[in-house]
Amino acid sequence: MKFVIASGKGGTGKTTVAVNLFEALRMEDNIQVEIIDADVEEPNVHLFLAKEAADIHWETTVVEAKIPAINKDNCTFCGRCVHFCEYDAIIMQEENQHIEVVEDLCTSCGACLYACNDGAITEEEVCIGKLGVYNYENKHLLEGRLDVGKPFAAPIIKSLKALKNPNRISIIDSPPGISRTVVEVMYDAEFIIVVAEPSPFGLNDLKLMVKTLTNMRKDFGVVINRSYGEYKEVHHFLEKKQIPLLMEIPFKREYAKLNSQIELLIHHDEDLRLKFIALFEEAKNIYIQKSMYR
Amino acid sequence: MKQITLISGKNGTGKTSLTAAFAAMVQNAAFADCDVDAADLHIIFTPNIIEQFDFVGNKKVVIQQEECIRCALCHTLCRFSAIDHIRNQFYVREFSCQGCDLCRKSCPVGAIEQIDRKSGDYFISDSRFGLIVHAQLGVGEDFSGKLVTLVRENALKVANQYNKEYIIIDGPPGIGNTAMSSINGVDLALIIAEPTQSSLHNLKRMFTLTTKLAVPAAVIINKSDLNPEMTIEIINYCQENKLQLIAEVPYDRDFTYAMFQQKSLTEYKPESPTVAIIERAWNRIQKQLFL
Repeated sequence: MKFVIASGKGGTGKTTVAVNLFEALRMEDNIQVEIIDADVEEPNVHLFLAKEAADIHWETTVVEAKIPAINKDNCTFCGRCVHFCEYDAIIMQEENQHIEVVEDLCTSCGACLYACNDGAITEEEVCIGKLGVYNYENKHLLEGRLDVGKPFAAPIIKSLKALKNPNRISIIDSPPGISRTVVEVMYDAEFIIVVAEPSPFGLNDLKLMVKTLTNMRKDFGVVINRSYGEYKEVHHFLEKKQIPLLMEIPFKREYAKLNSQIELLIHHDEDLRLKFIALFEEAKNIYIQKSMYR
Repeated sequence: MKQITLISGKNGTGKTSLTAAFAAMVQNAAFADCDVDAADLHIIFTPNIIEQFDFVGNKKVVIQQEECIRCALCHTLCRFSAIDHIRNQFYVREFSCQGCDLCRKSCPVGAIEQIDRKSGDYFISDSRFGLIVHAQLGVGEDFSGKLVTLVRENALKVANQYNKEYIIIDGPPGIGNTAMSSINGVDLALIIAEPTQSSLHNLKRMFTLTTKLAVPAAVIINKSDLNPEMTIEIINYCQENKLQLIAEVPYDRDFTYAMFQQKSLTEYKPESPTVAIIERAWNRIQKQLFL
């Protein structure tokens, strides 16, 4: 079963919820759980979990994308590849007999290869990121990491998903927002836990996320993080839309401090750990109940 | 004219709140909200929309079932597994489609049609701080890099038209294509960090990106008092890499209270010591820009 931790806005505490939920479940005897860091632009989960030197030796698989290579000897400068490329990733100047591929714009769709009638295009593999399986607690931490300056994350997320162990509960830390990368992460998940912040910004972003999840027909619930109790609009919105509020984490300077020191909150607060377990049970129950009606 | 982008590897560091705080003290600037995934600046700016435009980012393809000869060429060619096949019929899985259009161009019987699809809106608006260009990407849409570029082009256009001295850009999180599009070619990338291990990790990745794109960078540490030891670690990192530290802004609940009232901190509490720090920061930024 896959749980994605998502949020319309970044910085609401997705990673905090993901790592604490994971660790709370891992400490239970009867639950097999793993955590997947799919926030490939800024993977941070390993900072919280794989702190010992021995944990950080990770097996990496390089994710490669295919980039066209143009052989100028065969090229007739007909411009078909330029016409086929929807991303303007091929630049050609016929008068100077010049043609080049802009790697950072290429999505590896293969259209130019199909377009070329002169056999001038072949493909070479370039590295766009890495997949890691950390040695943390018997390989229960998987991570995808996009190389700096590479624009397309989707291939990394796809390869990352292929690595997951189907016999375990997966806690997946998603990138923020509602872009297609996020949809790709949530696509086959059973339940989405949305982390929201009780503020006007938080509410605006939560609404966008709710719209996305409703479109996708996903089961989901909300965790309100850093709650001071004075801004009630998020609560009202949830009540009105009949969205389950799974948990509320109060703002405490102590939590902020622990977080900034990459400590897990639940190691210092047993009550909170039990709340995370209850959150998991509730999410699971909602999913089971809803799936009985499907 | 100078362009400044507030950016952070990680979101929630206070980019938008700081952009708004600057907005209320800087004269003669135009603004752009390039966090198109989760645009929030308009909540504080409460803009009056002057012009609204459709954003067509991705073209949608549809397979005409009555014309399809079931040759499966599109299914074979598609690298994104976006052509599904159920009971001998072929369908486009919209969420997987990257818009490369190869299926349509290669279809031997022309059974695939292309439809323009609106993937969002962008706006040119007026506000009490000046002109602002902002956008909202549709649900589950991509090509946000393109939308960011459009927002910046329009901001540049209005800034030139009205002789603005600055464009202040509220950037997106991350280091992917939206982040790249929002800092490419600007005069200063102002990286907003916070004193956490993850933020330092992201600061390093962001600095790699600004170096790669040859964009001058400087740093503001926000919520600096939440973990003084980490703040020192970030300051050390900046010194080692000759990254200018513009300011350390303490954690201030008034940012949130100001937001409740749809105000910037500068308007909500002009006498606040935090506002004084942000004013000094702006002076330093100006010095940095006109070096």
